[in-house]
Amino acid sequence: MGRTTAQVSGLSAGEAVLGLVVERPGNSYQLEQRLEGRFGSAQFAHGTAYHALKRLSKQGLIRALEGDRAIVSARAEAGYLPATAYEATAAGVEQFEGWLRSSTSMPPVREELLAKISFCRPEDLPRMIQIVREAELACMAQLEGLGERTRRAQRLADNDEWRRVMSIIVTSGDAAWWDARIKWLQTLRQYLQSEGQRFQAGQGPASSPPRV
Amino acid sequence: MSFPRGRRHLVRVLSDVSLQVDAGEVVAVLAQRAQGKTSLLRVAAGMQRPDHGRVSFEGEDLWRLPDRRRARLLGGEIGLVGPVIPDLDLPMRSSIALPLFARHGKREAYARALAALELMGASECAEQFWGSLADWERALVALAQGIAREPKLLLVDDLTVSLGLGEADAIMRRLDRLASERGFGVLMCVSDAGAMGWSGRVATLAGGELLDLSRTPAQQGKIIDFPGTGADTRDPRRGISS
Repeated sequence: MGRTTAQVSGLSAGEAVLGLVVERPGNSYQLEQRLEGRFGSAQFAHGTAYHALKRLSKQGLIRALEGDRAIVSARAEAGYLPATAYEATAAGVEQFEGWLRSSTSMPPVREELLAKISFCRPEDLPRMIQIVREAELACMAQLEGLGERTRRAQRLADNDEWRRVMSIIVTSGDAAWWDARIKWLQTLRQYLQSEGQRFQAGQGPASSPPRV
Repeated sequence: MSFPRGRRHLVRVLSDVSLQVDAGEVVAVLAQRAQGKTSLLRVAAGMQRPDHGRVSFEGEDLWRLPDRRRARLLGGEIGLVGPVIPDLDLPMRSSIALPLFARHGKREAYARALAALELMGASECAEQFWGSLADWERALVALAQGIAREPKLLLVDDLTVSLGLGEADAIMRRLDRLASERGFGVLMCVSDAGAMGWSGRVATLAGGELLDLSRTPAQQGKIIDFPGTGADTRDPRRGISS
């Protein structure tokens, strides 16, 4: 889980789940819900919180809440999912504090769409336009999903002004990302469409690049 | 819909766009500048006649209505608000009440203006002048002006774009609740996703093409309509197409 500044990647599930447990103990179901509510745009897979809890527990960063340990052992022996609540250990809190204060990494841009455009030939333009349109629709779905999650999170955080404000800031960051993405895709789609028309008319590519 | 540019050229602003807004629903159209947001709203308001297609309100084709009836709809059952400076420098209470005088009489008009300001949480702006208001207060007052006329369809043109973090969200949450409680539809055009608040459906407009999640990719940009969302049992009654 720990990483140096030389490593470049986005938010890991372990960091997110540990942060949530430090903030407030919870069981795997509760943490799954909170993970989705707080970091929905990260699109963590279903079951992420459960697996992260197992990993964090093995690393000694979290432990079952006092009183629940007996239940955990009994359930583990019976092969059931331990639906017990976890809290952070001192090592977990230290790990979290270190992460919170460390510099933020910059994830690399390895987007498939960019690669496809770089390899695109004039005859691929109609399909490429469709792909860009699909990407735009996917971004719109993310925006709508963000709206739903935000409404839910704000209802839950209504009594906690600090959490509500932080939620607005995080949401606006998410929205800005999708907004920029949609605008770029719109510009790209229009440019590809005009290039397609030029290509069909037997003209070469436009001399001026798209206005992005 | 297209506009002439010079003598020979036509600029297509909206193309094969079909959009429907149901009662109590908020639809946000996200588009960059100069992509037809205002044109879309002007078409929906019956202020601009599309070259082709139909604009209907509660099942009636707006352009088959007598001119006077269509003119009365705008400012009555159809409200259009945007970041516009009022013509007259009046306290906000009077600025909102003045256009209501003819229809409701002076006393009722003032009562409606105050009620609308209160509904938008802007009661303290009632005696203030436009110049003394903050941007977010101006947005609240503009929306109060819109809802004071008790519209069935409220058109909102990029009203919340200059607002700070969380301000647009707070305003839109209030508008969303009002729309749902009072059953009026809202069609808002925004140039920034952060200005949408977190209400309702999202559509995008670029190059005259409207994208909507409820259609398959193959249908996008062709004939797109906006059916009611979820388990909506209301009749879809208001719509535009151009």
